[in-house]
Amino acid sequence: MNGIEIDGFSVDREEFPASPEELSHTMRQAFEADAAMIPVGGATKLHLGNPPRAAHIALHTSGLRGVVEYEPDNMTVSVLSGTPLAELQSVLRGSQQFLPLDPPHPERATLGGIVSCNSSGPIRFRYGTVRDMLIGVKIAHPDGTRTKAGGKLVKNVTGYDMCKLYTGSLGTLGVLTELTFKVQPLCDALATVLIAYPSIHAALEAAQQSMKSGLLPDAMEAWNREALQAVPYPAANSGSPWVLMLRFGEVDAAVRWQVDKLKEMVQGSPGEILNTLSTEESEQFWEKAASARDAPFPGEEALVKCSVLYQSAAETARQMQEAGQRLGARTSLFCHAGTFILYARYLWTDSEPGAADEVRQVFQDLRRQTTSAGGHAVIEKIRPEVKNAIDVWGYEAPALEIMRRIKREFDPKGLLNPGRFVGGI
Amino acid sequence: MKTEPKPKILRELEEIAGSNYILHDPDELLAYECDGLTHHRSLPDFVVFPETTHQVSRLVELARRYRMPFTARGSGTGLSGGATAARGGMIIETSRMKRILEVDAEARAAVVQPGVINMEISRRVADAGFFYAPDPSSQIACTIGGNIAENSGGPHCLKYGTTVNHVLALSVVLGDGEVMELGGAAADPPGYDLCGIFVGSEGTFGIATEIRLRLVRTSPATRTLLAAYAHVQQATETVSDIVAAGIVPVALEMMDQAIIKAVEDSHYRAGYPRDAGAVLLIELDGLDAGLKVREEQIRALCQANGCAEIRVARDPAERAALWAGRKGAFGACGRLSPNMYLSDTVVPRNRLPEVLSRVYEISKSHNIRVANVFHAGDGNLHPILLYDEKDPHETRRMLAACADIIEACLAVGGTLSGEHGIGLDKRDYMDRQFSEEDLRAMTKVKRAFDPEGLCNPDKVLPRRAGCGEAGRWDPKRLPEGAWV
Repeated sequence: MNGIEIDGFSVDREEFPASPEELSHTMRQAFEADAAMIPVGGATKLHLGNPPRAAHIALHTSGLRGVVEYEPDNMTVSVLSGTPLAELQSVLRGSQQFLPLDPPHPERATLGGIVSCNSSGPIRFRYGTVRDMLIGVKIAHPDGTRTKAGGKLVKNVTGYDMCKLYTGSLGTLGVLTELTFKVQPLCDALATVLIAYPSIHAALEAAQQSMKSGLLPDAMEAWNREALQAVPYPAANSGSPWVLMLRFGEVDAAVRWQVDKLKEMVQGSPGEILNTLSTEESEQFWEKAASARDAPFPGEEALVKCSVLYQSAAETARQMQEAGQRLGARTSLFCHAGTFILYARYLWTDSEPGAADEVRQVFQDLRRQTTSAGGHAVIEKIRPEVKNAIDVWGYEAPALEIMRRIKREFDPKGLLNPGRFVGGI
Repeated sequence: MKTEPKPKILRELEEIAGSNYILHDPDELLAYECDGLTHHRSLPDFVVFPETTHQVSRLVELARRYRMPFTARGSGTGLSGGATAARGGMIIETSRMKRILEVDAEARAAVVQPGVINMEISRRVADAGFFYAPDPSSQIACTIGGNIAENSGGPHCLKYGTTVNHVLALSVVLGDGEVMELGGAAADPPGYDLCGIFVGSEGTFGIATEIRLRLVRTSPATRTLLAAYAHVQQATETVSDIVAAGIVPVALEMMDQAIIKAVEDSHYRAGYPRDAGAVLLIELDGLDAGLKVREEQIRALCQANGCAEIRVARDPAERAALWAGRKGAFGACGRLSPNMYLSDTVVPRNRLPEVLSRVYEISKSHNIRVANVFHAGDGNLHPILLYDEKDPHETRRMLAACADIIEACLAVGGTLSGEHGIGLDKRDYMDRQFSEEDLRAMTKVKRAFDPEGLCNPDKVLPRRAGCGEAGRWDPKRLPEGAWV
């Protein structure tokens, strides 16, 4: 993967270390030369973060690839950080297990990148996120020093939980070289029920209702019509404004029980069942759905992630849609209906995107609304010109001071992904 | 004997917390010289009982002015010396901060103060169809604040994860008295996961004064099975087989013969088969339709390993009785010897049978009686070493056995602690598991949170990795200007 470019910055040099030792050596040299380093895995999330202050060397992890140790009877796996998620999943599948993470582009996204960016997808509702399954790390710090933390134990309170610190740290404290996860058994059966609703409010209420009725779904997603078009799956496209998708995974009898119970619940509600997908259909559907918010698009686009509480989720969806109108863009809304994370994908298909200032204003307004509802808004993808005018993270809490101190402790020269993380870290 | 400057500090402490909420008489302080780990003792100079975050913040500011170390303490049930004032100074006791501030059913969350007793939360939210999953055996007494400090586990963590998996946000008072929020109510707050690393930092980063917890929806159905075996090995093999079969029970606990007898002889009597060499307590939850299938699978695995008897709790009362025995096991052991040391290590689950055999060999070779009750599904061993602290030879043999057990666990890729923490107890073992560089990385985080090192000093990190080892706090040797 050559020609790495981040927010308009081209790196001067690309390095492809073939081992953690080589990576550490390369980093030490860069450290001594005060060269800014940009870790790169599958390059699926280079759009995240503020523009770097400098970008001299791209550190590719593609040479750190493969499973180091897989112990199905301990349900743990250690894997080199440059391994694509799909490659790991196919190894785990051989023992009827899997790593319950479903971020976009599993065939390219590497475990190191997924951990660094804390990527997740719909099944986080049942299985949680990286922090709930990462139990060990090996990492190379900016001066080439290598450390480890955790191990292959499913329970461990020996020393500080460094795995938590590195998860979602966007490669600003070191380059991960090896990761150990606890894995889960594959479900015997899956089913997905797609239900049309006239409004997001009704869809979210139905999701709450399903939990109160004793259902235990893997995922609950509420998407608007626009969003569903990104899933080239015939059963999903109905023309209704909102579709609620519930996935169930369990032994066959328990899956069937839940599907029946849900159908019963939907009767007499504003919902209309569009389709029920079998195990195989569900697998295909969710595989496509996972990447939908980040599907390739040739033109101008933006991706915003708002996290809120249940009480304000429907209102936030409306505000995100309204932002799309102001931007003159087509708006796809992907809402995790159980965790209240909403992604808005803005595509400029028929119109020219506005000037950077106008776009910035729209996102600032959206952020103000989200923040006043107790949430936060992160701009995950937008053209560099706009990024230069707005902090994509919008994080200014007092804890930022502790974060800055941590960064200074681990990277006193500020060489790793400089400026891309919160507060200019 | 009061040293001269104390009255001045006392006046200031009283001004903050009120004179009824401070202990300083050595006789009264005696109750606070250790936590559940009784062989490490150190007397604090003061114990203060604040009621609000603001008071905690002011107390910490005062401590900073006097260069006085401080240690937060909940119910003092910890087992690694985490709540012991290693260098003296002030214990900030949280028992007055015991309000459940908010329950948000839609967000599946509750906001609580640190002095809330673990069990209280599940009790409060049960009617709404929720529970709080981490359930240390001391849950009728231990506080959430202490659980946060130690990242406590418990039997039900096998399926649901430990404390850290259930903490969404924290208000904390850091070493300089500043109050800040870590994490957030809404998902995926930007920035480093400071909330995540704060949990389990054993009070060395600051004091959590408001805690937002994740609630778990109560499963529609539960099955609790008791499987009895003639031999321990058969039980541990069953555990490995259950894990290998990809079944994740809610809890998978083991008790050996010594424990079974102790429980059955005590008021925790649960009706365990007295002549069994080991029993497994297996709990499943989920949907009734799914549990039927899982139960059959588990029965088959138990039988394949020569299980002598399987019982299924028929109603909530029977289930509660089976659990009462397990949760009371440690207490029941009090009958067996004057003192006991509860060890806590974790090994990969596929190594459990061999390591447990080693534990018996080790205890035999040191002539120390051992009883085993533990979270088998997590690979989390809890050998209880029985001794009499009045017998110095036996105490030495106990400590030697304990060291050998730790080595045996580390040898198979195990870890020093699964849920009790490092505290004072195991910090000198830290360099057996971590390199100097590994420990230095941890020290960096400690420095970022607590640059002055007053926050529960001498815990977690080994002596030489810390920021210099000072002696006991001495109010007579204060820096210039400390009195102003």
